[in-house]
Amino acid sequence: MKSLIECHSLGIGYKQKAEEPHLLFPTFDIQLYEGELTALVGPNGAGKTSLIKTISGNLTPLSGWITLFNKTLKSYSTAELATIISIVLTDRILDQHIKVYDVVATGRYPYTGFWATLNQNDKSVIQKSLEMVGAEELSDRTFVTLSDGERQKVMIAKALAQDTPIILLDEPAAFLDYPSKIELMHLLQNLVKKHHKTILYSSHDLDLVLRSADRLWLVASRKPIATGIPEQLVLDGLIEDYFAITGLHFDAALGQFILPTAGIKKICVSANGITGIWLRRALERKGWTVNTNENEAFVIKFGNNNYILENGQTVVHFANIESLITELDRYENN
Amino acid sequence: MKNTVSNTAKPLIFAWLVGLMLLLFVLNLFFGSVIIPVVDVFRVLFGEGSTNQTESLIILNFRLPQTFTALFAGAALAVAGLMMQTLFRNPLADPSILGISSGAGLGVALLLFFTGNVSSQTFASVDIISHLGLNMAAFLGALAVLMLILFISNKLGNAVSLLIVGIMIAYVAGALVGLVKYFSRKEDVYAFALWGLGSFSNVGNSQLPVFIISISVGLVLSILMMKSLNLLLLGDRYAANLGLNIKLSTIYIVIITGFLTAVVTAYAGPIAFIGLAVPHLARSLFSTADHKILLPSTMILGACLALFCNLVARLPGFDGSLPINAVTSLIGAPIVIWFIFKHRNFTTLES
Repeated sequence: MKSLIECHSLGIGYKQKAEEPHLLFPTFDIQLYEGELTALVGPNGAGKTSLIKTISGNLTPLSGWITLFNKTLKSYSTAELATIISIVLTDRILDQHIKVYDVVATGRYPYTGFWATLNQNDKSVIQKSLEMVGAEELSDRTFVTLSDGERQKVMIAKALAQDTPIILLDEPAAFLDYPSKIELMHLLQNLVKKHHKTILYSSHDLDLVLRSADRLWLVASRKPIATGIPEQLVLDGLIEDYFAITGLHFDAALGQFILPTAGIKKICVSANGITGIWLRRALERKGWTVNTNENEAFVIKFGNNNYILENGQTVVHFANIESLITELDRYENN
Repeated sequence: MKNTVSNTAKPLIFAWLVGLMLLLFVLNLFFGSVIIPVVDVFRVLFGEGSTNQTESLIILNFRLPQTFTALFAGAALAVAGLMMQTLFRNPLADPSILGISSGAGLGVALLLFFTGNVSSQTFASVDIISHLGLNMAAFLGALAVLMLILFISNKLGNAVSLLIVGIMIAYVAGALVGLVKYFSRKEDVYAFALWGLGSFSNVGNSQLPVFIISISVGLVLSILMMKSLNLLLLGDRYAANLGLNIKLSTIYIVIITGFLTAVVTAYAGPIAFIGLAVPHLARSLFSTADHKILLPSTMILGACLALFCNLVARLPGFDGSLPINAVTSLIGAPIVIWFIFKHRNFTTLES
């Protein structure tokens, strides 16, 4: 695997005058591999944005160095960097009149001359970039009138118009609703697979990165950066370790954090498929520990579009999950 | 939101504006506080003899230079305002925001103070140095502040801090002006107050070429910043990632804006409003943020507004002319309010 960006004993953080530099995490070595969707994941405030800023050349590292295509990052001019790395930020564009097309067109500026005149090629690249993110119909709109999801697409179109092998995105999913997050991840995966981009994005949304990224860079304040494919990191217990929040328990089977339960309310579910999954979730939300041991006091089965609750000799049928859990609540309170 | 101005309509609007500017230019020559028959104005302009000596003097020595001054000062202030608003990403920024016009004011106040107190004559009586000296003092004051701002922006390299420092410098210069005025003679304080009201009639025919050439150089340089200004709209980090050298562009923009403001203030006094309002009019009119369109259109619109104000200030019936600063605000403010109501896409600041 070819690595496009390599960090060597990199130390990032802040240095205030006459004080010891404050490192966000111990110095580290890490590589960004070509043709992969890499997620930089960690809790809020861990230093994800600083790391992205450092790699994009916006922040000077406190120690160590970065190489880009085997040359040190420092040896590139701003103009050269503009054709190698593009960024998508959480910064808002404040101008009230700027048009979507003009925002995407700035992606071509590194290639245009002094007057920023767009030639036929530039125009077709802008058009293609808008199409790739599904924003071609927004092209005449004023940027401030767009929704958060649309703005994110337009900024990605700008990055695509910039035509760089590497795209860095800082918290691209932060302001999006759930379907838009999924759509965005789909888009990023697509760009990696079909358009041979190398993408690094940061996120604090563990669920999202576990479902979408090819590789994780796991950060937490003052911990060494861990890296690997998501599944391996889960199995090695690193996810739980890096995201540890008191009172939360990482369920490696589900791949998500769950509220710890006392564990005395046990219930057996013998239903498969999508019904089984959502039934299980409803029960867990109510504080039940779900298993498949049919010797439990409560056993729930599913058949003929009915939820069947067996409690010893009593067998009750329910038409939906809501009436089932209401009934369980009643049992509990008695 | 609907796109209010189609791309094909833009050149048409621009052509209309140029036409309007030419019309206002001509009207400025034909109308003034002294009524001169249209036929006579033609005769004077096209050099046919047999004209009244006084009329010829009024048109060639007063109205013509005044009209040119209004045209170039309007264009310069409008473009300077546009560049400040883009650089600071602040719709309330204008050419005076860096404290440059306050510096000019300080220069003038000091000149009045020294000619008054040192040579123990009132400034008004020192005819030889009057206009030229005033211009030089204002220009040097503005230049001193510009140098200070450049020195600071080179150290800071950050637009927000620069904005605050500029405003602070304006306060300091304003306070010094206050002190100087306090110790000046009554006549000099009055002369300073008159200067502060602004006037397009201080540039005589002899100084006109210098004025026009200086402003033209500034305007051409501002056009060269088009690409940088467009990138700055996205914010510093995006602009830097797209290959812009933020620090250098900031310095260039400050130099060009400072130079334009210094020249205009030196010759016409601190003229308010045009620099603040015209960029907003241009953005609404063309519904764009692209400086390729905004730079030329703010120039033309700024010239139009200044010419219109100059026309109103010298309407027949008034004895002499009204102070230009009062006219720019009295006429400009309602126009801008009307525009905001008409083009609702000029919305509030990002919350």
